[in-house]
Amino acid sequence: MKKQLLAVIALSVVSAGLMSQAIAQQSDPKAATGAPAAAAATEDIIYMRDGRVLHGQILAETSRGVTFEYTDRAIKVTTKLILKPEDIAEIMRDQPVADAPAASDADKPGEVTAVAGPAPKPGVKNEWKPTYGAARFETADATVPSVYIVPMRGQFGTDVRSEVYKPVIEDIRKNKPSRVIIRIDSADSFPPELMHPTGYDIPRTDPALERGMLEFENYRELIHMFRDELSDIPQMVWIKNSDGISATVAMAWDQMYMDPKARFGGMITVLEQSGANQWADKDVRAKMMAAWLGMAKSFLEKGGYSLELADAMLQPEKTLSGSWKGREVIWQLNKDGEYLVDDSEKRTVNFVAKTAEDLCISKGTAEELDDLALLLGYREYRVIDGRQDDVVLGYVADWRREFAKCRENLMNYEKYLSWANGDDTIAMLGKAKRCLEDVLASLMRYKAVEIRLGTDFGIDKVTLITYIEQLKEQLRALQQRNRGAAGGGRSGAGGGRAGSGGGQENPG
Amino acid sequence: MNRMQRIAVLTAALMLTTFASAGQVEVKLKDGSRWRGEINDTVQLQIQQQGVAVPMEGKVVKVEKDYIVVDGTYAGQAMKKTIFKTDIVTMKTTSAAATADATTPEASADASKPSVTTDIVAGKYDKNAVGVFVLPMKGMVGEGFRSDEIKRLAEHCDQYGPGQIIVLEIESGGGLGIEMEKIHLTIAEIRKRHRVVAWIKEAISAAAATASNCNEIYFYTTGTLGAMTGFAGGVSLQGEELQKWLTSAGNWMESGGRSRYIAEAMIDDEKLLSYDKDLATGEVTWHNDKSGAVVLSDEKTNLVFTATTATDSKFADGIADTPEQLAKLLNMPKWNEKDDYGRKISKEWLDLVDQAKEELPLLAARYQYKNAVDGGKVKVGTQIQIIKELIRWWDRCPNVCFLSGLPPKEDLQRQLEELKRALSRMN
Repeated sequence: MKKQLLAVIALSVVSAGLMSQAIAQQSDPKAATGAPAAAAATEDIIYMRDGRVLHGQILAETSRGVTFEYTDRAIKVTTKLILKPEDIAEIMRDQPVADAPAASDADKPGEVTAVAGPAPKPGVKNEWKPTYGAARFETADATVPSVYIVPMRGQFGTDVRSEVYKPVIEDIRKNKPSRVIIRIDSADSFPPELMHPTGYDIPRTDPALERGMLEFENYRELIHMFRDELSDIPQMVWIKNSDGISATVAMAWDQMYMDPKARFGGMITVLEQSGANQWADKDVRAKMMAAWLGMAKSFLEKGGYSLELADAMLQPEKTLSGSWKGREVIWQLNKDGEYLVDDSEKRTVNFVAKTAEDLCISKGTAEELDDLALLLGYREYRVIDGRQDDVVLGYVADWRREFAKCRENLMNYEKYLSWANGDDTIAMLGKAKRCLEDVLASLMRYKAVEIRLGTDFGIDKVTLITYIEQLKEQLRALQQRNRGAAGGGRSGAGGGRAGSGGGQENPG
Repeated sequence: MNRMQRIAVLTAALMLTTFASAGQVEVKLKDGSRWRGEINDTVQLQIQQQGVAVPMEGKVVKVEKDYIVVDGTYAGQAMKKTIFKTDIVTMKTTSAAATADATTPEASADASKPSVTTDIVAGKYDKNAVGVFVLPMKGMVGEGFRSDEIKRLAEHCDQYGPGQIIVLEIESGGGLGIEMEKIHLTIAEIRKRHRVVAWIKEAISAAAATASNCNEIYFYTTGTLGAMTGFAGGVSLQGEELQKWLTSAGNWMESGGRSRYIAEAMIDDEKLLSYDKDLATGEVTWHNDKSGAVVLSDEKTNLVFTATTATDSKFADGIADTPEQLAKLLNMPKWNEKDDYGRKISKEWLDLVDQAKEELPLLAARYQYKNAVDGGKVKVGTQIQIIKELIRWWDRCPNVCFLSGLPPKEDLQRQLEELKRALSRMN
């Protein structure tokens, strides 16, 4: 009984202190839905920043506080608390009610204890730890700043294309977030050490790697959609990894933040992929290089980065140093600045998170969204769960599934052609034709599939149509021959030497 | 009223409705819009012929599923012309046919309204306010990007009187030199009566030369312009050819009010370019050496402008990423496109180019294998059809035919004659 009294007193002290904050209460959401707290089979768990773990039911939430019906599981006493958002580390909602444990210190409000965090979900490693950054709210309260996270992940040119993001732009417009965060994770060079410490090493990259593509026209449209059409909404890129073409695109945003382990750079790939420096004629080479460099540099101009920095990031022969003028870095394409960034004439400039931040290229480094929110000046924020993941990641999964089917169909096409002998000729050619028809259908459905069929197999729409039509002709010829043979009374003849028609046009 | 009576009344009503609308016809046009009118209506049309919209005026005498017949004037000649619906670009009624039902007020009111085939009256465009005409110019110069559309748009603008603003929105990596000359002459002519503005997304090589002709140049922030080195077969122009190109490009640059040194630095990487800027007046002085305060092109660099270098040097007149921003730079109170004619003709042509690029190699391949199994007359008949189709492509899209290496039209016509002779011998 003494223990019970102590607990009640402690709670009273806490709640009295919090009540003095004059926090406006909202109606009880659970009561409104006909689910009284006392009868709930689940409970909400709130992890406080001071280490307390409170079990009970959330009655109401506003930007200024959470009204919480706390239940002391040991003594079965419930008390209403109003908790300030900044004191809350995490909220776990609708957790199954576990058997009430014996009264433990961990569960006592007002007492700081070591906390293990929320019970892990089955199969999920419990990585919860108290953080001291901004707090993410799960609320629709419009007074809480909101962020809309746009994934740009994978191969630029296929996974990341402007047309894929059109519905996302509409969704952003609809949701009106306080800020758009574009999460870029696209690395051309793998393994990562190819970039460090000696810079991007093109000859060592895996040629089979899915490197970003030189689709500048499409990327211009992508940038235009976000930066110009949504110019009224603050935006930033948050780099998880970005080397290669994606880095060029990323620099079209003037607000950049990086993950602590992020790699950034590798823009040598622009000249390397364009083939501009491969032209034998000196004048033509100069023209092509100037054109490609100009196009790439224009993205950095959009982000407000200096053309000297752009040159050093794009051209290996350029060295780079910088000098500070207040908070601004003045870049020089030589080694004369206060800070030498790149003294090599064989590699382009690349950055890790720390150097990017030190040299004012990135505005800050954040590993978690809470950290990033704090850097952006949000003590509390909410994440808008829009359509972006469904649209973007769904599209990526879909086209890649189609492309995998295409690979299989092309292999089967070759197989069926090689089996098109003797009595099976017509059947096998028919199957080969159907394989190509399926590939053609996939190509028509997804631009990304069309691009990758071109780069990986050298096949385009016209080639596919031609092969299919040729197979049709061949099948017709065989069928006519068979009909002729049957009409003449010699069943089973013909077709045997039709060969593996179309073999010379084999696209594989 | 019993059920039978109600049905009889309903049937009569339906019959009356049908009678009232008898003679009304509808034509779906190339752009998906529809013309509605009646047989004997006098109409004005534009018909797509060889990639160019040709006007015609006359009476509609027949409307069938795929075509209409108009009795009127075509290319200065009186004729009854059969026109495929898919070739009709615009069509509007200039005077309605006299109808038996003209006493019905609603019917006569409807008939007097000109039919609409563009978006002008949809409220999107205001032809009376200060405005612009936009022509998106994309693709390879000489293929998707050509002088014909500029000329057509200018002729369209002429209807609104002189002094119209034509915005060429350029996004091209360059192309054929021969088309550059045509574009130069076209723009030079149009500038005598209209204001021609280039809005740059990407203008490399021949596209840069196009922009250099314009009265004003504006950049998107991501815009680039330059690299005008001429080359053929991977080898740059040299000697007399190079000099000729330097002279022409310099003249064009000067005709747009810009220094010829700029053109030279864009053509020859060894040509130098720098400038000084008067801090008080902002006036820029160009130098064909490195003596200026800002060096844009050294001995190894072929000049390509980005938005900031172009505007700082006053090569460009400003940066605009949205129509509203461009409107301000053009001293317009707000962005207003007088109509969408330029956008439509651009799209039509680019779509046709895409179609040609797909169809031509297919037809060439089909010539070899299509109906080969049937042999004899069927095979030759198929080949005749394919050759005819290829000839039609020469009429509709000569640029792509030329660039895709299709035999000249005359050769195809000879081949067609030979095939026809061969076929007649088989009969």
